[in-house]
Amino acid sequence: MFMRFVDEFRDGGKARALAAKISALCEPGRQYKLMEVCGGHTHTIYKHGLEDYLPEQITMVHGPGCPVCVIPMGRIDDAMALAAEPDVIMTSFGDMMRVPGSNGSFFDAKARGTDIRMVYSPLDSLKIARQNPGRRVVFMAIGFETTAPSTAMTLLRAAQAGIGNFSVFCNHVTIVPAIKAILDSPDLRLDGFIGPGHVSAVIGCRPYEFIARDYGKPVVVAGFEPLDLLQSIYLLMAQLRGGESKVANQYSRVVPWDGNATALKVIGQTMELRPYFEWRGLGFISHSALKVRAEYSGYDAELLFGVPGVRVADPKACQCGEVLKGVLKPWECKIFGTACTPESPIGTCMVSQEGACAAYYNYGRIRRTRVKEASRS
Amino acid sequence: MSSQVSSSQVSSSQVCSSQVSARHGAGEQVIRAAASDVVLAFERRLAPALDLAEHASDLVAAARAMAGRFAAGGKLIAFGTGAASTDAQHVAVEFVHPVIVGKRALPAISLNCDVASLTAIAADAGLGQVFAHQLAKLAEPADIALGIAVGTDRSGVLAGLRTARAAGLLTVALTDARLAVSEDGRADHLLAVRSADPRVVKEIHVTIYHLLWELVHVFIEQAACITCSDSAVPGMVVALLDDDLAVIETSAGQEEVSVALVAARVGDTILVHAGEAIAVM
Repeated sequence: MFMRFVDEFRDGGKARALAAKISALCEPGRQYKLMEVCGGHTHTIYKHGLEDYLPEQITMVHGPGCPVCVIPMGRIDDAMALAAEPDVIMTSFGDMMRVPGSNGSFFDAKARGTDIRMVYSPLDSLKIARQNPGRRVVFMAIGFETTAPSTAMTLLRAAQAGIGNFSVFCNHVTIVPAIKAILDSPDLRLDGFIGPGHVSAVIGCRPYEFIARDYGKPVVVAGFEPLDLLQSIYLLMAQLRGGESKVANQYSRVVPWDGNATALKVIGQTMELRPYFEWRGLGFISHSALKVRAEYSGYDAELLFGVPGVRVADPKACQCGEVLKGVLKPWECKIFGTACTPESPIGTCMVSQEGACAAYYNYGRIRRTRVKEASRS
Repeated sequence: MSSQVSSSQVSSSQVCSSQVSARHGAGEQVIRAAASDVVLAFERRLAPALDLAEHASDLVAAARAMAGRFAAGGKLIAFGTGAASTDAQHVAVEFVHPVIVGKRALPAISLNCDVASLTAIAADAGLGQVFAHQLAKLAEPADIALGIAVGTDRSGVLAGLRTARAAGLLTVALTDARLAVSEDGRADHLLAVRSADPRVVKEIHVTIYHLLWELVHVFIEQAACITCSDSAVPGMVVALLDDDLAVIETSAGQEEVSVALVAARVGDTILVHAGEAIAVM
């Protein structure tokens, strides 16, 4: 069965042709480091073996755009404390269930008897609240600007329906400050960015203009199919070859230049920026996360219950921080594929399928040998 | 010496040659007969293999359901009698220790491995209870029971599947044609080989469980919309509901989502994140 928007972006012949054009744009002797910011892109690159199509001169660096991977251990411990409150039903997306805190994961807590339930959306969480009027239902909200609208709409719906036993433990983060932190990091030199596709469907392309203007790095907002990514790499390389730095939108079939105004409005209505927030591996970044607005304080789990808020150091052997900044490749971490696996993750990058370590692990990157499809054709 | 040897070799060669010549006609007949048997041997396998291909959707449905159970924390419990007991061990090791590098190991056990339990239960309750008893004590409702039943020695496997189904396990039966006709309905997914030849049945069973393993991994790896909080799911709007909700058709089936942030119409393809549509494609 032909799938619109999928099959036409997976044509092997076109992929090889694009790879050849990318190779032709490489200047002799120059190495290129391109960062794909979004974990969904990392997943596509390894699922479809795209690195094997690229010339040796191009290295893809995996950015911090996996929402699970950037949650620090302290916030997991805070969520565990909330879940342990009397009459609380904690609800969470599936991939958060396995993220380890200092006293195990949500799954471990569930096995010990805590009422923690997996949901597909905050709306499901709201349904649980409706069905259990005698219980207090908390939604563990994580994600970038892609999932924030869903949480915002659920807050509005809860308020409109007067559902008082629902609240949100808000861990939403924003992508632009994280990119800026990486650009300011002294241990990483990047040539260009593959911009996040779905985040951009909400925020648009304008927020990236400072990267091109102030840092001189090109940005191409990309879709998630193999040809989307190859075309975006081609567009980046063309800019680099021409000495340009602009923001371009390859994913125009989904991303409007100005984003989704309605989604931005509901986020602004229900949430506001925190002064600072801790990111796993990147430390504290100012104005990089969202909290529930005071007008909706009756739905803010942090205010309703109070959380320990203790900062917890990552396990010593774990090098998620370096992987998230793109300083280390996953297989260069000391515990990759041995002590840390998708079945028993120590670091967050091994938990979500969008995490760089999980993508490497699941798609055979432990071989570390690049098969040069580009040179075969 | 050398000439004698040479002469003897020639002589021997001539004898062989004359024998071949004398038997030439009979040899051709033998070869023709053998060729006919070879063709028949392949033909005997062709129809069941084509039948398997025709029923691919049954196999895919079973694999998809199995992937769902693994995703929910379930394990595979395989069992079979006689020659099928080694198939039960084989399928378990495929899942628990994949031969393909990078494929995720999934929990699986075979009930044929514990000789002490098997013989103790058989001695007390009879061979027919060896799997049912173990399943009653070891299985969890999220698990998958895979019973391989071939020929006449299948009462233990069928009792095991019955117990498993009653306990809420997903049940998958690999059977031969006879069982498919007479015992249909004992398992959630019945994968029957249409052949009366036990050798062919076993060969196709091996293919089936290799395919099940492979397809389970396909569904687990494609399950972005099930477990990941930040993957977008494209879907076509089937119906618009009250309160800015809509029913959409996705690759994983129909689901209800919010369309409050987009101007979606029936027939539009929308991009959904965490139950909220963020763009119309």
